[in-house]
Amino acid sequence: MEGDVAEKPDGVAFLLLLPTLILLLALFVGPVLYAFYLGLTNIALMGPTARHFHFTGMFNLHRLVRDSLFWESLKLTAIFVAASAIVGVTVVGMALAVLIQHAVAWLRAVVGAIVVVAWMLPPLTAALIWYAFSTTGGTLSLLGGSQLDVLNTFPMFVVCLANIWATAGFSMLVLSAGLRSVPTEVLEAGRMEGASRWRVFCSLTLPIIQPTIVTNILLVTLLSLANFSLIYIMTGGGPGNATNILPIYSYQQALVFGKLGYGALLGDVVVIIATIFAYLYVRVSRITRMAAA
Amino acid sequence: MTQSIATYSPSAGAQPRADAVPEEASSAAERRESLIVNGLLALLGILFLAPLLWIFFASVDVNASWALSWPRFTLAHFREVTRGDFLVSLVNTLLLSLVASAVSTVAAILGGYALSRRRVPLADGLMVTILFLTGIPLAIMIVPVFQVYAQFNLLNLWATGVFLGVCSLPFALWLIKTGMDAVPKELEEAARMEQASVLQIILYVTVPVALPSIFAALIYSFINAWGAFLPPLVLISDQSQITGPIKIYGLIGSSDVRYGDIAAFSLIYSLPVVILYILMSRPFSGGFSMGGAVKG
Repeated sequence: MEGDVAEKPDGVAFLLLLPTLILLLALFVGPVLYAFYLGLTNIALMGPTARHFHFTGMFNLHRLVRDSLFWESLKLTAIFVAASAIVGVTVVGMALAVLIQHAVAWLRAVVGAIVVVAWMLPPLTAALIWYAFSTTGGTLSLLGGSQLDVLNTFPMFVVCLANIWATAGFSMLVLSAGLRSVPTEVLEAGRMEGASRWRVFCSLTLPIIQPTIVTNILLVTLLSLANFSLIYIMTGGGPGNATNILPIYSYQQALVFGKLGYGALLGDVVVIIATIFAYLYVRVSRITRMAAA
Repeated sequence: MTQSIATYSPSAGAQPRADAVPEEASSAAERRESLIVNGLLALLGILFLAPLLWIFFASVDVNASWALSWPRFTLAHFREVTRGDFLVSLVNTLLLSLVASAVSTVAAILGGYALSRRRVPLADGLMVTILFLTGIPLAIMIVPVFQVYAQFNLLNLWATGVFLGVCSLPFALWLIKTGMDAVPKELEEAARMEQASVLQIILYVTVPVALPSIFAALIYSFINAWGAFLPPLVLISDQSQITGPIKIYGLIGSSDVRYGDIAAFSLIYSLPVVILYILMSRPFSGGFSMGGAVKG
């Protein structure tokens, strides 16, 4: 029975997979590939080249390398991802995970719930909450006593804080799972040797959960790279171009300035960056799964 | 994720961490340590709570503004945002999310079954590709999808729902395939003896047993579509079809900002996500659940 199902490649399996394949090709893989083609055309949102666009070869690419706003945007993307995702979210997530492990029960229940709620709120709600918190007349500006516009004065800093606030819960859950898997005997042995808690954490706990930390950083990076809504709703990429990360610049060029082709090309750059991180993630999770087996 | 444990202690992992420390007269140093730990955690908790408080206070405050202040109580905001276009936009969000979760779950049940039970050429490569797709940022597909939808006159709620369903499909497929892998094959063999068709087996044998993972995939897709901002913003052209987040976004930018209404409506809009998340974390007591994180 098992045999005849497992032996030959069967049509039934193909039929069952067909909806998935059609959907993914038509609306996922297809659009990504199409974006690479559109990125090399002169297609516009309106006007004569909206319908009759054509391949323009390297034209957009030349424009890209000479576009100082693109390089600025790439730098801002790197700053946003590095500061908020790689450093901020991971460090805050780790601090929460460690503290929650050792705190009294009621406190960890309450704080855990707050942090997880912050994480699962829809992007719009998180952005709105942080907009209210940091704009003129908001809570932060009144705390300063004056009508200081915190969001406009330190835009990148505030959107990084917002991203940390909205993502640390995810990091905390991932790292908590990692910490729980650290055998207590090892840590106790370390303590017996007279090492301080900090020493034990740095030289025993961290190396043991290193794979979890790497996975966490890659996932949080991907989450932040895709985080268009948070910044777009809070600042729209401004003031000026102070928070104009690549996903927003791409959207602007394509759907505000109507240069669909150039916008698609900017999006392709994000896809390439995300691809590298996604590839690393697949590699890492495969290695750890094989090692676990 | 935890491969290095085995080399340290083979018995680790399963046993609970709280070894009921009956240590000799826990010293003052230890008490100070616990004070620091609890103090730091409480501080972090307050920092996380501070921005959040505004939405609760402003939603019931007659004089709501962007700033956090003690409310002069009213329910007028909630009455205002549970009728008219507010209600319409919530219904639109619901329809969008239902379409998205139906598309992704139905496709993922069929595809997940094939990948879990049938011989599929390159199945491993396919799974890795699917895992990989979950990492592609959505915002980037907007330009090509907009271009295609505009050409075929598909800039509406339903087609956007299908697109959002496909966006969740890779992870839904991953969840359901993994869930079905855990269903014993013997269950299906009995059904096969009775000459049941493949669809009958999936529907009456596999699906009921793999229900927790299917449920998780359904909720995941639903929450994703419910929270989506950019796709409905760009891909829905008809004003009567706009969804909750787009409605709120419009209100923030309007000349006469109605702070209380915005807060109240955002609360109502966010509530289903919180409820669904709690429901989803129930069947899984693993790392990704709130229970798991809180219990330590």
